[in-house]
Amino acid sequence: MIPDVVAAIVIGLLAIAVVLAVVRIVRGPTPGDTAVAGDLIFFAFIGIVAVFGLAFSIDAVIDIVLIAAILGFLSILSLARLLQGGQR
Amino acid sequence: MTTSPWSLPVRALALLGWFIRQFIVTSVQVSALILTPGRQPQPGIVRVELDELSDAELTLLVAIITITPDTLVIAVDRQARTMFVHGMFVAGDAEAFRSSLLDTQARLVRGVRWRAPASRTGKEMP
Amino acid sequence: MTAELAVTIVGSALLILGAFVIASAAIGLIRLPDLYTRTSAIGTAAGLGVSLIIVGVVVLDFSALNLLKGVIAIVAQLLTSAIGSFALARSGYLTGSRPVATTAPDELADSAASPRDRQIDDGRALGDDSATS
Repeated sequence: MIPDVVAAIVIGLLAIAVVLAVVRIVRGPTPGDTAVAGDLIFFAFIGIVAVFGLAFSIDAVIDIVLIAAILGFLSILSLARLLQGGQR
Repeated sequence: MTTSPWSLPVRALALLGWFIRQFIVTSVQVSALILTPGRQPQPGIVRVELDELSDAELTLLVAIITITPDTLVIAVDRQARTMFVHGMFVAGDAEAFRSSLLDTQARLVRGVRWRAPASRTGKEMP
Repeated sequence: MTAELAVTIVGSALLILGAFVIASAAIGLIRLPDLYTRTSAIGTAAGLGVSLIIVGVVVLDFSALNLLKGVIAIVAQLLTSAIGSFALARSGYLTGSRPVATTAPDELADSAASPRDRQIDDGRALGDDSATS
């Protein structure tokens, strides 16, 4: 449904984003920085899934993105909670 | 002087339109900052005294401030009715930043309440 | 130019722009000096970046139902990412991520010096009544 070159550009940009986020995870320095970088990887993941879905004409692509958008904050909330050792 | 309850849909739409514009403008500003080599942010954290807001209004205010990428709520103290907000482009001018946040609060109140103060100062709009 | 071609061009441009915003947020993640400015940078990816990709998907795969799902997805994404950023910034502060020294003013650090808020330093009291239940 989309030209291959578009899929390649989008996935390339998002792959760069994931690599940079992994660099931040490795470097830290605080757990908060690691969590923020993890958050970005999740957003890049939404984009990658969307483009794969379009490239292979998967009908459910918008549903996947919708569910990811709704549930995405659970991961970051649990990370934030984990940072504080389970305290709110 | 308060607004007419009948104008709420118009005021809510005005809030939505203002927010979307603000969201896009500040996203572009933050992206431009990141992509300009050598440029660093001029951050600041200010304390803001809030008006009397309901829980829903306070949640919405925190959400609006945090979604616009140049501003970020770090802490809310509901009893003391204060919040601490981090800004990317404060550049030492705490008062200007604080009054822009109070402006956001006033716009929110006007956009969600049946009867809101007609203007920020409580006076009738010209 | 056929309508189909126009749809492909507009949709592709939205997808590429969204991916570009996410990539630039990642550059900010590397380049910016502290947790709070980095969280702000991620805010552009969480908001504008993901929203552009969702709009791109809706344009390329258009139907009334998909438009509705797209609008819901954008609203959900904005609200949940705001809650996530706030929780992260707050717990980051409580666990000792200090703002970069160029942060001026830092009224949170100033208030931490007063007796009422001193518990901030042992990582508890600040904003315990805030919306994080």
